[in-house]
Amino acid sequence: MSDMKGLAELEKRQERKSRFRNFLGLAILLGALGWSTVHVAILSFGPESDTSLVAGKTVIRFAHWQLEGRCVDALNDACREYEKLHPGVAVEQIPIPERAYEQWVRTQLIGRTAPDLIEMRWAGDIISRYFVPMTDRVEKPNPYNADDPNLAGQPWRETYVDNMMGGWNDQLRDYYGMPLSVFTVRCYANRTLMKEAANVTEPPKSLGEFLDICKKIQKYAQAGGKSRKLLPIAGSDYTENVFRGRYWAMSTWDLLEEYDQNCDGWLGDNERIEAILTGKLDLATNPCVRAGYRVLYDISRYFNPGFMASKRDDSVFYFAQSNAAMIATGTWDAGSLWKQVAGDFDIMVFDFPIPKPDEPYGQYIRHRLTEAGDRSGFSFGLTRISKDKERAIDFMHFLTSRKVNEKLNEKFRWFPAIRGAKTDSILEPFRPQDKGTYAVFDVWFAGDTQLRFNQKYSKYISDVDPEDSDYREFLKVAAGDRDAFRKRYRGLADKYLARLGDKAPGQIHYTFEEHYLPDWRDNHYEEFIRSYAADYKELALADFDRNLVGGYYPIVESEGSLAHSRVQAMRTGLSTTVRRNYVSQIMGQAGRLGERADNKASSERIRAYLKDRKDVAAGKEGGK
Amino acid sequence: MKNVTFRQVRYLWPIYLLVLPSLGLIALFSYFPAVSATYHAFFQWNGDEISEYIKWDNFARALHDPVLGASFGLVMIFICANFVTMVPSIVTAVVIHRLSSERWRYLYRVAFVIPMIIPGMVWLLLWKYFYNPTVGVLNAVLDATGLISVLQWLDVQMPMLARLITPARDAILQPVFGGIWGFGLFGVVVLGALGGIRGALRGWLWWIALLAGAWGLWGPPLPDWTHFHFVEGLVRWSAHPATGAKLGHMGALLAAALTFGQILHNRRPWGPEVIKWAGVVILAVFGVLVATTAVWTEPTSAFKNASPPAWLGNVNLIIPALLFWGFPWVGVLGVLLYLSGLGNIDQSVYEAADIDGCGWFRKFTHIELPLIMTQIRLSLMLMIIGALQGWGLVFILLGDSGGPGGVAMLPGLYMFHEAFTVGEVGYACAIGLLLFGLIVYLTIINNRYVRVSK
Repeated sequence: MSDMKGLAELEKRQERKSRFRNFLGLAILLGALGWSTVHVAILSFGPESDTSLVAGKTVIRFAHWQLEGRCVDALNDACREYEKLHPGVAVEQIPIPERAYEQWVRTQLIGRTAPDLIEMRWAGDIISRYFVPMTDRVEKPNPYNADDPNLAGQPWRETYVDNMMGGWNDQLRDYYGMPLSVFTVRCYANRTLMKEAANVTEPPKSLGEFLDICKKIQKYAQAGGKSRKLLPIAGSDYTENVFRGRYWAMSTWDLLEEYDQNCDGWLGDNERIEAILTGKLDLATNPCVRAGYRVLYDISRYFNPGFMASKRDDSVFYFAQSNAAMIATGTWDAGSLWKQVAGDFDIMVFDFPIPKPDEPYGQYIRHRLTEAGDRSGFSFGLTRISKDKERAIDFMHFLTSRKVNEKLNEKFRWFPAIRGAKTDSILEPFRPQDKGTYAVFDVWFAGDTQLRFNQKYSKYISDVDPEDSDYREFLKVAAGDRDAFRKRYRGLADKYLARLGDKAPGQIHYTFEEHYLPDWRDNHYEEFIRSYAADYKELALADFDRNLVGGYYPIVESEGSLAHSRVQAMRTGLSTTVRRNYVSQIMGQAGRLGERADNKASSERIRAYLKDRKDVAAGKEGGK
Repeated sequence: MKNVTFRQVRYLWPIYLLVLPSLGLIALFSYFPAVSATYHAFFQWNGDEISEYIKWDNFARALHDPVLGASFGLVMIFICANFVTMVPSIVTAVVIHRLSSERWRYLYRVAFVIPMIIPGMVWLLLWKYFYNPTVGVLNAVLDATGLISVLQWLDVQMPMLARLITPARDAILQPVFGGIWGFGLFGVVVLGALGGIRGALRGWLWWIALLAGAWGLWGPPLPDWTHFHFVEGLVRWSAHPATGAKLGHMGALLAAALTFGQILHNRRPWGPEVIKWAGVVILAVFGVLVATTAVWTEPTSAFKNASPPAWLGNVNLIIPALLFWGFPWVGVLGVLLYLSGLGNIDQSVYEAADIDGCGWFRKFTHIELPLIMTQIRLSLMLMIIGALQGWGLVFILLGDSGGPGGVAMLPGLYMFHEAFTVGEVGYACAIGLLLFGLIVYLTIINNRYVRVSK
């Protein structure tokens, strides 16, 4: 009996123990949870919630995607210098890889956790929602220039070499960015390889000559069994983009004359969409558009195979390792490239050549791209959620003061954005040239039109040319059944049959170099552009409709903004030549049209067109 | 398992409280975003302030969206590839399991764990270098071994073979099965009819899967109904003659397959064997026909004399390169998972098999494979979910447009692109919901039909 009692007692004791252990565990867990909740609450809502305050210091955070070691180090040095001047302030640099930068910033902005200053690269909707307009501020002097005899007392805007046009947003008619540097892009060539493979010691004088050199290098590589290792041009999606930025802009300059309805010197979204959808501009047949895409295809033949899957680092690596004779990149790679190749070979730098009038594309590419109107870059915007906007602006004042900007860019090995700041001698060949045209036309609209363009264009530009064996196969099929031939080769077969006329296959002069390859390239281009043009008609309307519904362009339609923009553009940035072109364009258009069509009228026309299309579509389906 | 009564709760409440923090965190970080995404899928939403209720428009747009459609097609290829890529892991696990020395078994297990510490990014860079057209290992091997000329030869011969077989294939298969894919589906239905009509109908999800597949594969295209109001569109679509034609064709074939299954179902022991072999033969012929007439139908022009194949830059090579990625596909996690299953098999089972005179292959097919089916099912499910959700690799290698021609665009990548590049977060939520639905559906199918027999 006593045993039973003892057992019951023991059980009770164990139960108490177990309950105690449970309570203890629970108490620890709840304690930890409670503490973390309170801590998070204090950080979120309390006086410490201000993330710009850490250990009694004001923290300024800035994000950018310039990950080059020199750049990060130079900015770090500048931050420490600023902290010395302002002991109550800490500056934090957040470098983000370029590939994920846009998505990272968008998430931070939406989540209200973005840094105070962000390197900018967006269209109107993001900027107008999340960034602070700086127009009032840029008219006041930069206090850090007070001891500079040339810049003291001048408005901040006017201390810039481009009058701060790099911070100006055309769409929103306000200054939003505070730039630090100026960039230009050039072709770099390995002097030793150019001499060895193409017997060239001077930069090419025309596009034809440039392509000729590329061909010589390619042949040299093939003859020496090095075709898989030695490339004329180090290609990557980035290099392709650099070439596109130049040649596309140069070849489509003439479109301005025809389609710039509001005479603002730029073919805006509305003008493009209207011209393309109403058939006034046919992407497939317009000679300027055609020349732009064809010249890029011709150049890309000298890139490495599969270049669209290569990145900027890959192409720089090819060039630095003497696996490629040339590369196209900007001032931002100059310092590191010179350092990497020192002792191995000399670098020759030259501007992108344009064709002579009697060379292919010479009719459409007549002027170089001006860099006089090029805007300063590496531009930072002030976010609306910044807790200490004045301090953030003060930090930007510091970075854009002549002395600091000069020192910063000396370390970057980039052009300073501030007047009077000295430039590194290495950058001499990169000095902006002020004659020529500027970019006026993007072929995509936004959203899905851009995605589809990227997909189709990358396929078009990276496809491999046919070889002799393909040509022989083509001729063999052409000699057989006509229908099977047409079915297999489609447009290419049509071109051949048109050349053939009434003659039998084999009776006409038809060679690989002279006929088959040009026909193939023509056909390749047409397949790409017709397919994209069809997509554009489908997608651009939807993009446009959604953007209007979403109110993404609230300010574009505002009356009077154009005049303001024009005055700003005229006042600053553009060279005399370009300004003259610009004015003549405007006056010519205005005289011919009789009245100025503005973006709003254009939007209404597109809306009406959109509505008609919907009605027609509904009517068709309803009739079935 | 016993239900907990309310009285007991009085004593057990601290335990429930212990669960609460975890539940709260799961609710906050897993369920709330999911619910929010479901809600916002019906809005035109930019992720922040702009929000407008647009009913089913995002879903209607998704149904129309050719990029999304193609991306689901691609993910299906990756899912099917999983059935092949999981085999080397199973074989490796079995080989390690059969090692007589415990010490060696242990060493191999460790050897398989070590690669887990290699960061994913290093792995990615290694493979990227492997595929590099100019300085990569793969092209160097192809050049050194002369395999590049084999590929050049195949690039001429395979399309020729396709052109030779396709007319005969179409002449035979088109009228009866509506094409090659219909023929393949017929093979699946024949296998599905193994248990007779009753057995086949019991697996209703199986039938839904087949119907959905058949719908897309057979007959003339249907009118676009999403243009109209949902109900109106559905009525118009049902009344369309093409719908009737499709249903008739499909019904006749399904009936034929089921009748075949029912007749042979009770003719034991040879009846079920005949069905099984008929299904396997049909599917084997289907596989050969797909390989010869539907994959390599045009010269890729990727294997030139002058320029090496650009595995990640040529539209025709990107998908094969991604499928080949990770070869020989011996997954660390998979091997360890299968080894854990194999470790549970009692030694007596092997002894019994030895007495019965089973060889190494029969032991594999009759003992090991059935007994690790739980692990295979789990692994397959994880791989399917991974294939549907994964897009990071393509994003890093080819960017958010899915590479040249957008050939490598995956649903997850498209969702990411729409949300974070375009800023159409509402539409991205709708795509996410569709993905979620597909994952749930495939998981149910997997759980139901990848059988576990103990």
